[in-house]
Order: sequence, then structure tokens, then C-alpha cells
Amino acid sequence: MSSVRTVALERSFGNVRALQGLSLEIPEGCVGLLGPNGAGKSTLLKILMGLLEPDSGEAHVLGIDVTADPAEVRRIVGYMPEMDAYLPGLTGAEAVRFAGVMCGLPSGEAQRRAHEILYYVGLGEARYRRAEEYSTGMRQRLRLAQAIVHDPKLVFLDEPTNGLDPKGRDEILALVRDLAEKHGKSVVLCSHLLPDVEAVCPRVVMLREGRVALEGSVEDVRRLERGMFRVRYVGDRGRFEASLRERRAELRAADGEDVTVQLAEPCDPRDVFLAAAAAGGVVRSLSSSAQNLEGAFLRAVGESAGEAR
Amino acid sequence: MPVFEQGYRPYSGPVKRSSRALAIAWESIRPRMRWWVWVVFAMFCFWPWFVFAAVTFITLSVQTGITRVPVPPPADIFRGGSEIRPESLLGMMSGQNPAHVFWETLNDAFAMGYPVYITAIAAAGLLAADRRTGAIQIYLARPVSRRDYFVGKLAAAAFFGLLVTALPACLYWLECALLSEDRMYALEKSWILLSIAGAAAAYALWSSALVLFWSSLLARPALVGIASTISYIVLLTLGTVFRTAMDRPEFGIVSPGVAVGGLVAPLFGLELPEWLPWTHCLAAGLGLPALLLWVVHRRLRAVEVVT
Repeated sequence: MSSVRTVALERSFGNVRALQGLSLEIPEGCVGLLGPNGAGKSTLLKILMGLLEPDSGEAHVLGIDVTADPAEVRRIVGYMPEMDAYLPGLTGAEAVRFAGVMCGLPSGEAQRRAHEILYYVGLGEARYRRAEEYSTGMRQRLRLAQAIVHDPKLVFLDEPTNGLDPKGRDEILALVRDLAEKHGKSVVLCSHLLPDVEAVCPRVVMLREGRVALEGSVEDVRRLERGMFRVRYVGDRGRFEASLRERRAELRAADGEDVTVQLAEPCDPRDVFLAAAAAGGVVRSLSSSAQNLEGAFLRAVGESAGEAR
Repeated sequence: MPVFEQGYRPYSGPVKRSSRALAIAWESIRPRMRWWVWVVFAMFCFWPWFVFAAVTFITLSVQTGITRVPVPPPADIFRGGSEIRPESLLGMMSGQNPAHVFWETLNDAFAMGYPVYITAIAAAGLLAADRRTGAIQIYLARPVSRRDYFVGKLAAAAFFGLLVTALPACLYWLECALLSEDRMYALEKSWILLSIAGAAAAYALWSSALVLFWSSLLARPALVGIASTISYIVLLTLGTVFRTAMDRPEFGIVSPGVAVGGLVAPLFGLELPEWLPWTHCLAAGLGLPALLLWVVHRRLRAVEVVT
């Protein structure tokens, strides 16, 4: 069963179309949700949490229609918000206990689980301190504890490593990985920090302008990038493109003399020089595209910007 | 096994699906009970009741022999504002209908703004602080309906108003019952407890609606407290100006003390003066808080979308 499924989801705010017929299927497991500002990530999360109603389309979380039963969705889902969220005057233990009670846990059980979860996220020693006295990293952990205190099947994490130092970031990501791998939780990690997503998510979904720009396993996305080269070519581009095609290569994007070439496996860059020679042109420079998620992300966003222009 | 070695424990126990309003109210009240500022002020708000309690005790101890003293006509009570009449108290102890004393003292406390001030001090941050600290997301991301949140916060705000109205009134009733020469006092006058509850609820609702209204609009609790206090004083002043300076008592209904006081007066067996129809009191005493609470409810929806 997929953890999230949307069909032709539409949502507008005035003239701004935040989601434009978004159809996606997020499988169980840990999935990264990427996208630049304004891509529709937050709108999607709000709709999935039942906080916003879509203009049209369907959204299902763990098989439940979010518009039909939003309370049930929120009962089985944990949400870690991006921004600060604490009840003033409450200690860490009280805040997590309260989050559990709000999710329907009996008071005694919520109390017990609050202490356990705070130890789990590394706040055991600080659990009797007031939340407003916590550091940024501790507040992030507190938010994570509040999100998982009721043992949800699916957790939405919105920028969970924002404002953390490298050590704190690694620790939070280790917790997320532990939740997904050892405890079988489905996690949707919403972030603009691509290394974070790469570190814990085997799959990614990239949004842009309210639509899916790229979707697949991190390995697939990396593989796509593997045969990608930036080439500065001087000569007839049409002939170069035809020549590349004869070598099962493809010209993906062009910006003046700079072109992006996608080579077929096993990705021998000599094919670029051979194609250029056959086309009567000259390759002035050739460099490999960054072989990581960032490259794919920037390309997806860049193509989007290009389309917009 | 020590807790810290347990790691993450799955949960498969029962899950409650009932309303969370009470839990929200309690969790809103509990941290505020640790403050001392409002507790000191609450004790100050009890002073009219302390005076009555002391006078009652002394009167009965020295057996002054003062018995029936005429109760002032309702028109005078409303016209007079916030005068406390010890003779009414003494009359009460002799077996005269004592209900008006409770009404008068409750209404005087309200006219002096005690429930409003205490609610403004203790409950100003109920909605404002939730938005400022992002706590609203803790509620919204959980199976808590907007109604639960709204009712919970309203109950929390009303608690502080009830604390300075219903609590001292009930304690004073208890003193009267214990010291009364009439053995049947407690039984015969038990209906006053219901009247106190009804009146205190009306005063608390009015105070809570005003404070929650500002709390839903402003981000800083201090500003909420100031705005609530000022708006109350403005209404009070307008009412007083109409009643006294302009000699138009019917417009005095602008004053919260007259509007809510008139609304709850029949609960204590009091008749209203001709210039103050009960329907007008109903409109002013319940209509205004209902309108303010409607705005609060609308604001919650807007906050949900923005958050």
C-alpha cells in the first residue's frame, strides 16, 4: 500500500495555483519531498494533514481519504512542523505528554511514553526543563518527540534539520533513519537540504510549480546524472545533435555554446569528442555534471525556470 | 528495565476518540496556576466578600438585634452603581430574602471589572501565545477539531472569571449557612447556589469573550491585557455618562455591569426597573459576547490556513 496517493490535486490561492493537477504516489518507507520555495510542498502537506481542502482532486493517506476523515488521518500520522511549536510554561515531558493526550492516548500511557520518547530522542536529561529554555537543536528533538509519541504509522517531517549544527543534524538524521529502518515507520522528509534527503531517503519526489518534476529512487536519479556532461561546443549544433544521436547520446539542454549531453551507459566521454569531430565542430571543454541529487534537483528546477521563460 | 534502555516502544493500546476540549482547557490553566501575579490579584478581588464575611461574623457574634431592613428598589440599585450596603446584609441574616446581596456583590465585582482584569491578566495569552510560539500547530496537527480547541480555550478563560465570582460567592453562602440562626437556611436557600452559578457563568462568559477576542487579534499577551482593560473601561464610562450625566438610564445598558447585571437579576428573584427591559439585557449581555466569540471562531479558521 502506498503511504500517500494524490490524483489530479488542485489548489489555488487567489490567482496563484499552488498545486496544478498533482498526481503522485509515495510508497511506504522513507521518501524525500524536495522542491524550491513555492513548489507546493507546504500546501501538499496541509492538504494531506486535512488542514486545507483541495479545490479538486483526491488525496489519500495510508488509504484514508483526507477530505472525508481528516481527524482519522491526523490520528495515524505524526507531523513535525518546520517552525517553532511549544506550549509556553510546559516542561519537555509535559509538552510531549500533552501531544500524546491530544492524539488520544490515555493520560497515564501518554505520560509513560513521553518519558520514553524523550530518552529516545536524546532529551532524557532535559525533560524537566521548560521548552522555552531549550536550544534550537533541543527544540527540534522536542518537535520530533511530539510527532512520534503516539506511535504513528507515517511521519511528515518538515525541514527537521533546520538551524542545526553538523553534529545535531547527523543525530536527527540517525533518528529518522532508525525510525524508518528499525521501527518500520513511513517517513516523508520535506527538505531543501539535499544531502539530508540523500542521507536517509532511498526515494525522492521533486515538486515544481505544483507538479511532480522528478520522481524515483535516489539511485535512479543518480544514474540519470551519471551520464550527464556539460560541454562547450563550437560548431553547428544541429549536426552535433544528430551525431550524438547516432552514438545513443542525447543533447538535453543548451545555453549559448554550453550544452548538456546525456550519454548512454557505459558513459564514455570520448563519444562526445567523436560526435563533435563527425559534426565538424570543436569541443572547447567538457566536465561531468555533479553526480548527486543536487545536480538533478538543480536541473529539474532549472528546466522549470527555462520553461517559464 | 530502565526507561532509557527501552528505546522506541510501539503502542497498540486504546485510543480515545472523545472531545479534547477539557484536556485543552486544563493544559491551558495548569501552567498559569504557577504564576503568582494573578493569584495575588485574585485575592485582592475577593475583598468585598471578605468584608461581608467579616461583617456577618461580627454581627452574629455580638447579636446587634438589627433585623429587617428594607431592600432598596431595583431601580435605585441599578441607578446607584456599585454601592455596598451593609444593612442589606444584616437584613439577610434575619431571614429576609438574601439573594439580592449575592447579586449585588457579584455585580459590583463585575462592574468594578474584577473578572475582566483577572481574565486579562491570566488568560491574555491563551490564543496570542499559541500563535506566537507556534503551539497552534501542536493542536492542528492532531485529531483536535476547531470546536474542541475553541471550547477548550473558552473554558480556560472562563475559569479565571469564575474564580473571582463563583468561588467567593459560594464560600460566603457557606459561611451564611453555617452561621445562620435558621437551621433550614442551607436547604431553603440552596437555590441561591444555582443563581450564583448562572450569574457567574454570564459574567465569566462576557469577560472571556472580550479577552479572547483581543487575544485572537493581537500577538502579544501584554497588548491583549491592555486592550481588554481599556475596552471594558470605555464601555463602563459610556454607560455611566449615559446614566448620570445625560440622565438617560436606558442607554446605560452600554455598561457591561448594567447589561449582564440585568440579564442575571431575575435569577436572584429581582425585578428590573421599567426602563431596563430584560430583552435588552439579553441582547446586550449575551449578544455582544456571542458576536465577539463568533469573530474568535472565524479568526481560528484564518490562523489554520495561514499556519
